[in-house]
Amino acid sequence: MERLIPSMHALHLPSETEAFGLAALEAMACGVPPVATRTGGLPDLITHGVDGFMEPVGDTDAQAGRLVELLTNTGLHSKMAAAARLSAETRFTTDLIIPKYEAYYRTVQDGTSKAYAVSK
Amino acid sequence: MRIGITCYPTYGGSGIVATELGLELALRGHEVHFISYANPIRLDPDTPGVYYHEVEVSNYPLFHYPPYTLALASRMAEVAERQRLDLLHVHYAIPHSISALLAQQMTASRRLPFITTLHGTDITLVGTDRSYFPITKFSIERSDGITTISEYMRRRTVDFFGITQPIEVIHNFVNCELYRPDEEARSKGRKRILHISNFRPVKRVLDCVRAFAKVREQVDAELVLAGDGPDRGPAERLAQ
Repeated sequence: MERLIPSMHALHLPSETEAFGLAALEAMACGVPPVATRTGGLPDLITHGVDGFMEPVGDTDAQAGRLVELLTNTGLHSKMAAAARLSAETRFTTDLIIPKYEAYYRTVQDGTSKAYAVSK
Repeated sequence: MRIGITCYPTYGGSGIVATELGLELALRGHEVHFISYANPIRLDPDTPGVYYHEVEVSNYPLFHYPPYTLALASRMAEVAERQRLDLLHVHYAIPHSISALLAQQMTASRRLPFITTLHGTDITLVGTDRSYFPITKFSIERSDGITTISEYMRRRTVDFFGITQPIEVIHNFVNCELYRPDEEARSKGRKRILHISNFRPVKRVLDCVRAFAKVREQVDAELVLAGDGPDRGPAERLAQ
């Protein structure tokens, strides 16, 4: 996937729902702007009009319109591709997220996690 | 730390995230033990610090359904004792968190906390099925730590299951060294649109084909569909 995605100009993710949208994140890291649906966890990930687009579920006219924008407007594509990469690097890169898991592991191991305190 | 990770080893977001997490933890000096019925697809078992423990499920004629949950619990407890695991981290609630709870009780000689990470359909589809709802809620509530991969998932978990324990939102992640732009590859040939999924109906892959037909009216482009699943055939027929 890491070899396929960078050769693309846009990702289309028209899902009814997504818990997070890992495919969109991987695409953004490769500078491939996503055209997705405004659903589930995708708004956590995509800033509409900045690093990707979100349109209503099932609205293929709107989704196609965004794809055409990205494929025909070179300036928009460059700007959005750079913003997508920046979002991945500054919000979702391994160097940021893995330490959060490590810190959480320590609280659970110590028995100090809030969930542990409540459930026991 | 010595960490046991259980996930579904096949394609799917939860297995991919769990595997990538384990590999990254190993790179940071932790000892990571994957416990599953198959080697996770993205896992190279020769990676330093990473170990794979297969769960074998006996299928006696008496068992109409192989008891994977029990076999997994036994294996978790065995690996935890032998490898002196500090904790278990299970991805996808059903049935992994129940197995972890059993393993925890089996290793009573030492504390074995477990974390459940909720990834999606374990909450939105499977967990809310009437058959699974009570056991899913029970296993989440008995977890020593609970995480979700988005704020949306946290809200769904609270709304559907009435979970009162704090839930930590830790987003999915990407290795930006591995996944990076390649302008040269992008500059070759026609414009290309990509769709990646497991082709389940919820992914609406047919919308990709419908939208692409509209794109083609204005732009000479290609649509690349990566993945496989129930809607692959219908998508191919629609495209033709």
